Amino acid sequence: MTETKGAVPRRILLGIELLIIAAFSNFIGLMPEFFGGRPLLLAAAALSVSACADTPTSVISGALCGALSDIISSGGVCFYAAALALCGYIIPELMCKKLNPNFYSALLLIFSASVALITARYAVNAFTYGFSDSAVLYFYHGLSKIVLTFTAAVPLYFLNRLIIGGGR
Amino acid sequence: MRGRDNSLKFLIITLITVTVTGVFAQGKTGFISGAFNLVPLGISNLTASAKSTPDSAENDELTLLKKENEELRAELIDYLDLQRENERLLKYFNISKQKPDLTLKPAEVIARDADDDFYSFTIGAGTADGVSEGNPVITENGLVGQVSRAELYSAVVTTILSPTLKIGAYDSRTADSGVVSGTAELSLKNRTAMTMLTEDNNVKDGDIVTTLGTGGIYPKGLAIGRVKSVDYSEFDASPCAVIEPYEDISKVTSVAVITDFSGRREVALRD
Repeated sequence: MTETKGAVPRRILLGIELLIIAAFSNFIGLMPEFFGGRPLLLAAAALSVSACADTPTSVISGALCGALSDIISSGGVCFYAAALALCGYIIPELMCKKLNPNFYSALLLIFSASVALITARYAVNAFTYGFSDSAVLYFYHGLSKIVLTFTAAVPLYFLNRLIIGGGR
Repeated sequence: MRGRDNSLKFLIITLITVTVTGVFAQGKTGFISGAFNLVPLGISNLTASAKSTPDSAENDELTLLKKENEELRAELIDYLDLQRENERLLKYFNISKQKPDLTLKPAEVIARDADDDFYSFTIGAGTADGVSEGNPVITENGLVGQVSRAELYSAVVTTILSPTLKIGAYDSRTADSGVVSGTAELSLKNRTAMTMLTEDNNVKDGDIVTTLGTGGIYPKGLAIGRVKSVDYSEFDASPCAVIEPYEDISKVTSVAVITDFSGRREVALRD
C-alpha cells in the first residue's frame, strides 16, 4: 500500500471522525433500537476503516475505537480494544491476500467481523452472567446488534473510503 | 512477505500496548469518559433551552440595542434553565415531603450504553453535584438503580434489572425479606426477581416490594416494584418472586440521585 498524497491530514480527519462518533455513540434517540439492541457505532466505524485502509491505519483505528468503546462503557480498556485491533489486522490481510478488494468483499468481511465480535462479547459475558443468561441475551439483543452494527458500518465504509482516499 | 511481517509486528505491539494500558489505566479513565459525556450533556442542555426559548424576530437596529437584546436573551435562557430545574425539583417535591431525610439531586438521562443489555444509562450530574458511587437513583415512582461510576459532571447508573446489583428488600404487606436482583430473561420484560425468600413466605401477587434499608446504601422503604408472580428459582429451587418495577427502566428520561439520607453515615460507620 503506497502512501497517498496528504496521508497525514487524511488520518487526522479520520481521527476527528472517530472522536465525533465516540461522542455521539450512546446519545439517546440518535440510533434506532431494534429488538432491544442498538448498533455499536465505534465498532462499526473501526470495521469500516479496516475494509478500506492499510493495515497500520486499520490496527490503530481498531485499537482507538475499541479503547474508547471500553472506556465509555466500562471505564477500563479491555475487550473491544484488543478485539478491534485484531480485526484491524485480519480484515486488510484477508482483503489483500485472499479476496478481491472490492465492495462486496468489504461487506462480507465487515459482516463476518460483526458476527465474530459480538458473539465473542457474549461469550466473554458468560463468565459474568452465566452461560444460560448470556445465551438468552445473545439471542434477544446480540443478533439485532449484529444486524444494526453491520448496517451502520455500510455508510461509514463509504465515508471512510472518501476520507482515506480511494483505498480499495 | 516483509510487509506482512511488519504488519504482524505492528499488531503485536498494538496488542501489548492495549493490554498494558488496560492494566495500568483501570479506574483512571474517568476523565476520558467524562469528557465524552460532556457532548451529550451540552446538547441535552442546549435542546432543553432551545425548546423553551420563544421565537424572536432578528433586530437589526442599533448595536447597543442588539447588545442589550443579547444580554436579555442570555438572562432569559438562565431563567428558563432555572424554570426547568424547578420543574424537575417540583417533580421530586412530593418524595422530599414524604421522606424529608433524603437529599435529592435531580438529573436528566443524557446517554444510554448500547453495549449494556440491562439498560444502564448516564445522567447529567456528577461528583461536582455531590453524586458519588453507590448512591441510589430513583424516579417519582420508585427505585431505578444505583450509581456505579461517578465522573465530574456525569455518572453511570446500573439499573435494578442488572444481575450485578443486589438489593436487600422486603414485602411491605408480609415483611418477608429477600434479595432483589435481575436476570437476563426477566430484564427483557422489564422485570426483576426477589430471591432468597424463605419456604414459608406469604408473598402474593400484587404485593409491594420496598428496600430493606440495611447496609447503609439504600434508605428504608423505597418502592422497587409490585409482585407479578411467585415461583421457584431455576438455580437453587428456592422460592422467588417476579417483580415488575413501577417505571419502564429502558425508557427513563429523568431521575433523582439520593446523595444523602439519615442513617447512611451511621450504618457506614458501624460497618
